[in-house]
Amino acid sequence: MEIIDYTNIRGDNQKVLGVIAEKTKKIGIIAKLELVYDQINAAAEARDIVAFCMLLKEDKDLSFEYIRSITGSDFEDRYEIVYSLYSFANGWSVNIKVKINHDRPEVDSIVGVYKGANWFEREIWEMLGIDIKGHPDLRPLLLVGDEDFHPLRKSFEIKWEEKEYIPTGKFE
Amino acid sequence: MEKGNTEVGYLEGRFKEQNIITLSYNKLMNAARSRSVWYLTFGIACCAIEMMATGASHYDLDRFGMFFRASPRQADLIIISGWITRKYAPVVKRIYEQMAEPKYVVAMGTCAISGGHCYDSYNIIQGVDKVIPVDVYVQGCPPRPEALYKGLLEMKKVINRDTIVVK
Repeated sequence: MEIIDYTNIRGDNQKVLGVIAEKTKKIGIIAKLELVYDQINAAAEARDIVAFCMLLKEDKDLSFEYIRSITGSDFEDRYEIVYSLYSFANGWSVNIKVKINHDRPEVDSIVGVYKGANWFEREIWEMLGIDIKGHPDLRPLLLVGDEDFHPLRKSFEIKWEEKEYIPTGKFE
Repeated sequence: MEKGNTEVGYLEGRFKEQNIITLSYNKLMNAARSRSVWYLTFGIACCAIEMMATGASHYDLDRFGMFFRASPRQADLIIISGWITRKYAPVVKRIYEQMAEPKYVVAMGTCAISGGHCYDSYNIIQGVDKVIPVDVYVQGCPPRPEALYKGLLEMKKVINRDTIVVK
């Protein structure tokens, strides 16, 4: 049996970038690719995200089989979600940046592609209030669920006041 | 160690033959109870690290008759060693309710006392005493092991206040 030491594999990112650019062009996904600090950043359209992830995961040359994290930010005129993918087989990683409309924040769920995205998307949903369309299990993850705010939005303000404990009545 | 000098062995070596000692039942019970307080294996946040250090061999809570107990049914004491979030508060309350009477609560560190540096957070309970009654507050961020076992020895006074009829 061949034992591969995955820890020392460093991919040629410029080459991978070329491969991604070629394949996205072929299936009609608009992605602006650039190399920043030896990492591939891909700015994609929000509507393409599922197809893009499917391409990166299923393609045999790329095989990004692992989702490291999904993070979201509020830029006041837009939201941005960053999907961080990694390939254990090749030692490559790519960050997909997606801009979301601030007035109607919604994005497609990629749980169908990456099962590990489930909790990340739940957190983005409750913290930023971005609607995740097609998510199988959209429940509060860290919050109780009776909040009427989204804590990581820029418009959320912390109030300096003595608060009473409001029993949640929930025990799971 | 010299005989008769320690608090625990104060009857040691005083009587040459068999004797009868009379004392109040409360005093006997409280003396026994305050010297074998078993506390719950229950750590929440960074204060739990100090709590573990206090229980471990260097600071050694065992010498006060205190042991970690992994079930709330068998524990006398719960040390709240960290902040309580709104999501976690029902869990703490449930664990407290599972403990058998008489039971005692120590709030360890500023987070458990008042919410600490997360005082104004949307998700933090401002002190565990809003959820369950607290007997002793140990201040610090986190308290040193010395501070914690000082607090636990102070808790003996709380236990000695107890009577059989009224808690």
